Amino acid sequence: MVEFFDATVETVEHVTGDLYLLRLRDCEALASSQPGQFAMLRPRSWQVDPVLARPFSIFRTSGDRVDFLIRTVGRGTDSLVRCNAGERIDVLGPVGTAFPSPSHGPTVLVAGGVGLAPIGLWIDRADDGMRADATLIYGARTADDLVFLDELSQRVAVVVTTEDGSFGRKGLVTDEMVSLLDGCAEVLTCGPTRMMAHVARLAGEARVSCHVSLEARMACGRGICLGCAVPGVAGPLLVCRDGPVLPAGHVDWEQVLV
Amino acid sequence: MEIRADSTVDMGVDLTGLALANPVMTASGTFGYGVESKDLVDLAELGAVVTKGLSPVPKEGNRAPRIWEAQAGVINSIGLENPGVDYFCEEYLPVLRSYDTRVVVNFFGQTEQDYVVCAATLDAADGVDALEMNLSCPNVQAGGLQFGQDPSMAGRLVAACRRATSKPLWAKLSLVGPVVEVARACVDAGADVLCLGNTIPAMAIDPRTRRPRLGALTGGLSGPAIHPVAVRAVFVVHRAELGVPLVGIGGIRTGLDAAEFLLAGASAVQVGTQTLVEPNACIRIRDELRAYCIEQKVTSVGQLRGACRLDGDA
Ligand SMILES: Cc1cc2nc3c(=O)[nH]c(=O)nc-3n(C[C@H](O)[C@H](O)[C@H](O)COP(=O)(O)OP(=O)(O)OC[C@H]3O[C@@H](n4cnc5c(N)ncnc54)[C@H](O)[C@@H]3O)c2cc1C
Ligand SMILES: Cc1cc2nc3c(=O)[nH]c(=O)nc-3n(C[C@H](O)[C@H](O)[C@H](O)COP(=O)(O)O)c2cc1C
Ligand code: FES
Repeated sequence: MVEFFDATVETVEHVTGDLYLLRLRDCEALASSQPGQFAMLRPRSWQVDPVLARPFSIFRTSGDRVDFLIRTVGRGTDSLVRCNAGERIDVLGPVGTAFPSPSHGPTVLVAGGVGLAPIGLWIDRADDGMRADATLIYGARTADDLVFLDELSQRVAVVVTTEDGSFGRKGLVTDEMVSLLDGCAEVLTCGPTRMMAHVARLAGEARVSCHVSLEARMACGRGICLGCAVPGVAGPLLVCRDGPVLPAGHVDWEQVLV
Repeated sequence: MEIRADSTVDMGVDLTGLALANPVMTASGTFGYGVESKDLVDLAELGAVVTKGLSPVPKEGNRAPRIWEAQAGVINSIGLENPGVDYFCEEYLPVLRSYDTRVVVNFFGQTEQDYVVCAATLDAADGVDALEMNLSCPNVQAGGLQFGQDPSMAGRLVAACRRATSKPLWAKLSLVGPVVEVARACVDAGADVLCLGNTIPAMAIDPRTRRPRLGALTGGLSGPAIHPVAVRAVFVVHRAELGVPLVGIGGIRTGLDAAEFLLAGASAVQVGTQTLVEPNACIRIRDELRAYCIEQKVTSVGQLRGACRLDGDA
């Protein structure tokens, strides 16, 4: 059940480039979060500005500790990663739908950039059988943007792509996908919208089930403001209530990409 | 001497026939239909639940993106999306009725007839304590001019709704335009309470891509940025002595923000944007307001109404 509570910043660690790891404690309510679910975070220090809480996927949990993988893109994320240990943060969560956990058959996980966060939790929560059947395609702009490669490689098969070829294969995640779709039971993806649209199309062409984790600007995170609507094939979808994880076929990709 | 907060201040207010246990309500569009939050918020602690706006038939919203965060404020272009007044009465109202809270139902339309249909439906609905009409809507029969921007159009609309309901009728006005004239026209036409006010028309453009930030191009600004604008609107309407209670709305985040509205002349307040980020904001603000009353040595929150000190006052 969604709860609204205040948590405490334990650490903020610079990982690499513009990526940070924010660890909160006093987050019992998030301990059983499912992969793909997220939390709305709002430091108490924000007061009049920034106004709105920001959504972040739950990346790892351990007891009452929760880690978020945060890419700084603007004033909200900049301010969050500058929080000091001990600062109080209002948290709403866990919010939204989760990635399915296929019990049999190969799973292809496709993560772009900070889209790794919910995929990371999926890998954490998967059992040995599911991990043995899973391949992660993890793409970034450049080698410096790749994080936690060692940990990931110990648990699932990993294919890395970088756009500039500085690590792994040069190119896009979608270049590596097609050969893995044969016999694949499920594709799970999170990353830039354009990337997910491409992933969804390839999965659709191969008739493989595909779930995507969408993004939208959010105000409330709990289905109240109707601010996070994205076009769906059967009418608008609320990313915070109907998503963020949705069957790819429910999304009206043409409209989403306009 | 230790002062017990809960026993020393009378927080009750009377809004022309509707008694509220305290003056802090949710604002329309920021608390859904109340029932969605029943697990997070004790609805009985709210002055009233004010619902998201309803139209006679279901209405789709605007294209995405619908939210942009400005400085100390939020611009939204939700587009008054709602499931229609009949759906509300069948699905939400029975649940809402089972809670010990006041229910104020916000409604709107594109024509005078739309408003009248809503008012009549809500008049007949058991469990609706008051009707709040949103006048910040374009009148499609008047070239899209907002009802609330023209005193005579606003007056006609309120008069039509007045004939359709005997329940308390609240008129929610725009903060821009001829505020006092519109307020007077609404009261003359039979409005029981004036709410000031709605979001302020606003726009943001991404300078790099040169594109508007919102799918609908423009939207309405809410949050801390609009607080002083709304306080001033309450102040000037209060000074016009129209004889009806005022409800202050705009950028309330703390008990002191709410107190400013009361000092300017409001009897009660609504909390919007802060409710979005803090579901139980109204309850905290009520407690802070009570603490302020104790600090100011007033025994009833009503004593703050219009108590702003002006030149010549002691
Ligand atoms: C369900 C969900 C899960 C998310 N999980 C993570 C996560 O685990 N880690 C992470 O780093 N980020 C995540 N995000 C994105 C994150 O919420 C945004 O980056 C953040 O809100 C930006 O806030 P800001 O104030 O820094 O940026 P702003 O100053 O508001 O914007 C800066 C720039 O980023 C763009 N932007 C802002 N918000 C979004 C958004 N929601 N989607 C797309 N573009 C946006 C703006 O258009 C602008 O160009 C998630 C978003 C959603 C909806
Ligand atoms: C997301 C959102 C939706 C809103 N929907 C409505 C609505 O349906 N009807 C209405 O009269 N006002 C609506 N409003 C306006 C608020 O009720 C309120 O008047 C305004 O936001 C100013 O108060 P605030 O600064 O406390 O948010 C909405 C505001 C927001 C932010
Ligand atoms: S963020 Fe408010 S409805 Fe989704």
